[in-house]
Amino acid sequence: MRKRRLGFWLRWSLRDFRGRWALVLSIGLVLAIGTGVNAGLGSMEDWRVASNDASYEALHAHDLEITLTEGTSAPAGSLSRLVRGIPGAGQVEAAEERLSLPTQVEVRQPGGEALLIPAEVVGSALGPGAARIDAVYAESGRGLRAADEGRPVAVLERGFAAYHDLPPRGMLRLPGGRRLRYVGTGGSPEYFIVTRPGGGEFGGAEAHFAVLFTSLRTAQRIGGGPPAVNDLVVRLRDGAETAALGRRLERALASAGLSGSVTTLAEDTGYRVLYKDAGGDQKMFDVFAFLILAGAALAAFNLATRIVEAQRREIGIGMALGVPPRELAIRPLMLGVQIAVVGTLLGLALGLTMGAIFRGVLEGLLPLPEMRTPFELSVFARAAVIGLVLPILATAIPVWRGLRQTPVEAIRVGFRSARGRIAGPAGKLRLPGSSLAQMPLRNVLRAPRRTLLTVLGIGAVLSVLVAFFGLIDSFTATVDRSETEIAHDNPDRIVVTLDGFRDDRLARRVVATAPGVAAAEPQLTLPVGFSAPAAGAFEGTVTLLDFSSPIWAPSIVAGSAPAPARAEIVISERAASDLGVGVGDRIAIAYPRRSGSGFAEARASVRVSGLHPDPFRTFAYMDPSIAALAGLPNLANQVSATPVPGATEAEISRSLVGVPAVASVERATATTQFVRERLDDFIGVLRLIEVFSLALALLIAFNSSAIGIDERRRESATMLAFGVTSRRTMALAVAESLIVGILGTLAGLGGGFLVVSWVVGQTLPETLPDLGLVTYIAPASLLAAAGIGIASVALAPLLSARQIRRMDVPATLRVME
Amino acid sequence: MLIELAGVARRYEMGQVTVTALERVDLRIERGEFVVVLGPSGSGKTTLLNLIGALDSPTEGAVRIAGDDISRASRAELFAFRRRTVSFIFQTFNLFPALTALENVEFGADVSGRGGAREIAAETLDRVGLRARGGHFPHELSGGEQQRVAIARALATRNPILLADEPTGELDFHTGVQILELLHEQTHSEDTAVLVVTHNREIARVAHRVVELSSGRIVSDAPNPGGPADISELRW
Repeated sequence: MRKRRLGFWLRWSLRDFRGRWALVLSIGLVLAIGTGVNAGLGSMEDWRVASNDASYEALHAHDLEITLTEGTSAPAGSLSRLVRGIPGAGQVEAAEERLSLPTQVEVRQPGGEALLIPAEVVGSALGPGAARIDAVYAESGRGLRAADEGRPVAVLERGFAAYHDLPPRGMLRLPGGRRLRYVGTGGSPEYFIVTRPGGGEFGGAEAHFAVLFTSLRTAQRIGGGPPAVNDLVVRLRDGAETAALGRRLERALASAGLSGSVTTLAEDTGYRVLYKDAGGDQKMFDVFAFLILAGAALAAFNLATRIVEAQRREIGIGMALGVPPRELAIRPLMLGVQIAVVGTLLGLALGLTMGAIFRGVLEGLLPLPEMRTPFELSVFARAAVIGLVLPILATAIPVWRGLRQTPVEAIRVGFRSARGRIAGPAGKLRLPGSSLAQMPLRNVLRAPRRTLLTVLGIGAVLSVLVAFFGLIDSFTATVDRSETEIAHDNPDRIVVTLDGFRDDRLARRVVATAPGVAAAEPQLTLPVGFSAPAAGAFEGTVTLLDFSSPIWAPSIVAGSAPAPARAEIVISERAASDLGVGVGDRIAIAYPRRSGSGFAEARASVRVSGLHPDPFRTFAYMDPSIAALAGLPNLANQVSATPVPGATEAEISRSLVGVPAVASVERATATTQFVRERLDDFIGVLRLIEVFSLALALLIAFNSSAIGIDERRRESATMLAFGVTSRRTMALAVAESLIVGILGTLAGLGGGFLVVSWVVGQTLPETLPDLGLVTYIAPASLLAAAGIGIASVALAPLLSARQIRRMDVPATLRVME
Repeated sequence: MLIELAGVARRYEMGQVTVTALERVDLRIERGEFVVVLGPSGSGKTTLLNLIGALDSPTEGAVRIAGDDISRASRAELFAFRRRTVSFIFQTFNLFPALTALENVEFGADVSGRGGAREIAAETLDRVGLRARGGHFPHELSGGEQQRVAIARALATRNPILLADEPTGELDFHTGVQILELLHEQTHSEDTAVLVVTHNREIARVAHRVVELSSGRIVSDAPNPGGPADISELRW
């Protein structure tokens, strides 16, 4: 083709663009949302991993950590000497001793209420020359300075402070009347996620567990006695043999007669959760990303095809005039190129914006000091390829079809009637009502391929919305189920945690005689590891309690309560499923057994006597008579209590403040309450997806309707000429859209249910293994999604009402075809 | 008097330019009259048709249909007028592609609010000789058949005025004659006023009256000398 001819066609294409730039922009925006959101959601794992890496690096996270057995310590300086003495000590860049102390802290909330909470004081060296391994960052207020060494100053863990709405600065009271001023709130690598002992990977301890970061000397003063340490963190040089050095440290620890463990950063629960969550959540985001892109792609394909179909007559005229097919293809293909370019450019802009938007969401979701949300070119490029190819393909197909027809066929008047194996017979079905009433359904039936593409596009986008609602409902239903189990028969039950193992009769008396308490029952809760042959292992807790207690005992949905003095256990249905066992089978438990002044891990095989329905797999129950197995006979570390009618948790908490054995008081449903709150953070990400999917649904509906009304201009004009009012003409367009909206919504509901089932059944078990989620979409959610889907599609033609009202009927009717 | 135009003018503002489509047009048409409006392109034929059909409003003058001045009617009244008083036949048929031939005709009866729309449609389709083709979609019909369906749709309204814009423009001679026969028959059987706009002088031979337009003015309005010719005598 000569350059001059090509220039002619390109000029014509440019004029086409001037005439329909709004439509090109609109379809481009559909693609842009698809590609931009896809790129944003597709980058989440990279962003989270990059943020994790940057946060751990910024705070000089340890490579190895020595933790002495709970309750034991070593003289200050002894652990550092131990490190210096191992072979290969030259690979150690820095090592720092720390002291971690369990304690309890009293803090006043903004409302003036006092909170008495179990806490941990973590003391690290701050003075000149300190390596600041596992440094503390300040989220609000200020961090710790070298000058704070030895001063009664601390930084309060951010999650705890946020949960209780504490100000950035304040005063804390420790046992013995000691006061500690906190100068800021923040965190440290090991406490990015605060977990409860035996609480598995669920985290959430920050609500009822305060971590106070302070200087080593201050911690040692709080601990009393000669300066001691019980923890050492080590940072290695690049290329160091981490595993080998860890083994050498373990040997050195044993040789020094110290009991403890050596762990790597990768073994830290918070570290594992942060990286595992990033990967696990990505699978769910990938599904949403795919659906949004698929919806946008189908819609853009459909819309671009329809625009070119409308030009079919011009193709026919060109064919009749003998224009070579490749030249005839230029104008329609240029439309595809225009949409592709606009879509890619807008998608690029949206992709960049997504980084900023998701950064805000991630900041609320992740407890990290560093956030990295760079534009992920490779992820965007994958989506952009679809955005580039699709519109060109969408315009090429009708061109190809047009060129295969005879010129006469291509020139034929207007929008064609129902044809084909489905459309023909379906279009001739005699439907009830007048010819006018039949028109909407007939219009839908006469173009089944187009209807299908529109329905699938809307369905894909709506399925994202349904999945969004369904995931929230599934979480809520699961938490409700757990709460029902924990609160059954005694919804106001509270759990008093003791500061250690106490005589069970004494513990019962202390709590039962407190004002506001009606009845109390001691129980012993121990961290336990569960495993079974040929099944994975997981951590949880086992609570030894009286199964005939009037205060609370787990429901047994299969089997029976454990027989006294027998090694029998009641586990959750979810745990039984994960361990591949049923009632009567045996599982292995690893539990702490008292050994001298400390504890050693012991193992036992126990028979599953029954199953309880709590969806948290971490909770298991045994008879108190078995406490001797753990070397803890007649001891308790918790008391389950029933308040007198009208007494609140806060009142009971206040009445127990100062009782020496009491560490904390909380509602029995505190864990489920926390999960509910975490859900709100999680919803932040989903909410964004909801907003974009809604925008996409509206845009698809509007574009589809605008093109539809344009295609039907002559039909509308004919109706108006015959006296059908513009309102009725509009109503017919709305009715037609309503049918498409209903079909699209049904597809969306089905697709959404499949997505929820897949996410709940396949993806979430990886990120939330401790929670047995149930797939559930509430009727209200279905109605809301259906309402949004149907209404947005059905009402879209109203946006084009002006076009109908102001239609130049004579001019439209006289268009010569 | 069924149709009466008095001092009608229609001007269009095209940017800075005012285009006069019709100027000082006076016209009266009785029931049962077959009137052909002739004129070259741009003479104002279609504008005249649009004004009588209430698709457009005059800039000056009055358009009275059965005594009512529709140039002063509200939008809602105009819709009602079109449903109850006029029906259109277009050069390009403008059938609804999603409806079968029978349903397209039924549409005419439906919108004009006639009871028993399906029966009227079947009967009217039979009148235009397409009973057997009632279940076919427009694309399955020939051009002549489509125009006959369009006429049936207009007839099914049973409105007293039938407006046809170049109804034979896209048809061959034989089919065109069939169409004219149908329109002619309508003036006798239903006392309908039929106004046909065309530039084909041969068609004018079958009219009771011929109105000629030129540059927006009526230059001639007279009965056919010697009365309407027999349709079988037409040639084009």
